[in-house]
Amino acid sequence: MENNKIYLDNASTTMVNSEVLAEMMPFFNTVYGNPNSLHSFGREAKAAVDNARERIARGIGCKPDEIYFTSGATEANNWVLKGIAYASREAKKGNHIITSKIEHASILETCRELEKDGFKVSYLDVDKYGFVRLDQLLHEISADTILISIMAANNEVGTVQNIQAITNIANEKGVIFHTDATQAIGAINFNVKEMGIDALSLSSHKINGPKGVGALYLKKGINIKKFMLGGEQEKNMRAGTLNTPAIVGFGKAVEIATRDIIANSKKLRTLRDYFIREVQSKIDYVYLNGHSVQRLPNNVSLAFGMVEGESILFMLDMAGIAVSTGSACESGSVEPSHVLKAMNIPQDLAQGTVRFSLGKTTTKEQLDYVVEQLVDIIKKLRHMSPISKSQIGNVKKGDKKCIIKK
Amino acid sequence: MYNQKIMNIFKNPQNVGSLRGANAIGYATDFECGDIVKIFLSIEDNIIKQAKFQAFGGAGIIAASSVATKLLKDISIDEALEFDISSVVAELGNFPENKKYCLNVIKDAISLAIEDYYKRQARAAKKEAERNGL
Repeated sequence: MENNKIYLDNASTTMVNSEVLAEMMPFFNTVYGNPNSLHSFGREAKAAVDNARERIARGIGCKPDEIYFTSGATEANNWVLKGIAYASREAKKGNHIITSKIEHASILETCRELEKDGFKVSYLDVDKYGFVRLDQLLHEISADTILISIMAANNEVGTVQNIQAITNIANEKGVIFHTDATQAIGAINFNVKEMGIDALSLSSHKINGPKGVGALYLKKGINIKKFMLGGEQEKNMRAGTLNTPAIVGFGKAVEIATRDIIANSKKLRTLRDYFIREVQSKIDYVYLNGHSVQRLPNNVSLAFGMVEGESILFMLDMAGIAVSTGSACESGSVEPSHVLKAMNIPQDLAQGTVRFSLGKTTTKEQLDYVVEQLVDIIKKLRHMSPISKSQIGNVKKGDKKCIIKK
Repeated sequence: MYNQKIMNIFKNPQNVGSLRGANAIGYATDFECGDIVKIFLSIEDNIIKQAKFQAFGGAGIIAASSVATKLLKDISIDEALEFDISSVVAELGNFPENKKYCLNVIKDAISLAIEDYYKRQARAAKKEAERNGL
């Protein structure tokens, strides 16, 4: 079975591309200098880092010196929010931030932290597809608003926001606009200059690059406080020795992802739609979360009526198929997904949601096998379920607590 | 997350489905995690002769319900009312700490089933009394 394992959890992380890995290898034990050293070892490493920076800048349409390497998108998100908030406080400017209810935890938890420190945060609602309400965004912007941060595409349900429309609103109102593009790079074409985006977070491991590296694009001239202290790396804005091999791999991964975007997206979209059709035609009471068209090419988020996602996950796992429930980051906690909740998905369907995220190695044959397995698994679990068809989406909360005591 | 024993039971749970002729049914929801457990009992002379379950929940709830219905068989109602969920945990080896509280829904379903049994008994007794009295 080992060799036949099927990985459909590419929104959690991806396999490192062999071309990427090949480029990284020399930087572990041949070109191992510190890019900030003045000698030849350092200069060689610095040249590689500069090359990666250029590739990434080209990939999203900015200048190389507007790219700051970080440990990943989580750090980039933490930094951009805190850095801009505290810089604004120091300059005695506004203290209001606008974000949405469906952001990644690295945005939401940072916002909550900032609220504790006196900043005001508005969390925008989304509609049933997961689209941020633009009317509400317009309504929330005030003279105090310093930053709008809306993700480009959602990691759980795959909904792709109308980023250009949001950017236009932010630009018109003169508010800095940041987008978390972790899931969107390689799926959506970004040209931050043309689009008017001021800041953008990227991650390497979602696009077949190595883990532990990412970047923040920050338009020149935007005032931001340092986040990591203790070194003059990254133009004295982000301390810490640069992870040269990872950065080199990241640069190559962005180059490939943006170069192959059209062909990849087309292939994935075809597989995605085929899979959704197959599942829905072979299994009753299955609902697609998010929008059917304006969604990431590799994301399939399905709510299976009458069954619970974790049970589906483990049964698929036993059949050698890897998926995730809602979002991987939340599968350890018992709270239902904040994204599905914001989209007003009934709790039983939120609990019955499984995310299948396709990748470069996904084939039609693999998906056929998954559908075959799903048919059996759902049948088995529904046999165990106390929920009836008529209760789907409207499960009664159960009887009151038992009153008899012995 | 779950040990192999839990996964094995989850793969092949016992006592699954509704029970024809059950005279005690309990349906309980966990308001926190949304899990649902329905317990069916067939009680004769205050002894549980058969126990089955249906569950909407993760692998842990399904495995634990399987074990709980096994432990319920052949015990008295009084013993069932004092059913301790830790006996299920002991049988399973261990259970993830952060999910342990979700198991209370099984205990609730058992108590509700017995409450249902008493209600049915009371109704039957009332009917019997009415028939005799009239």
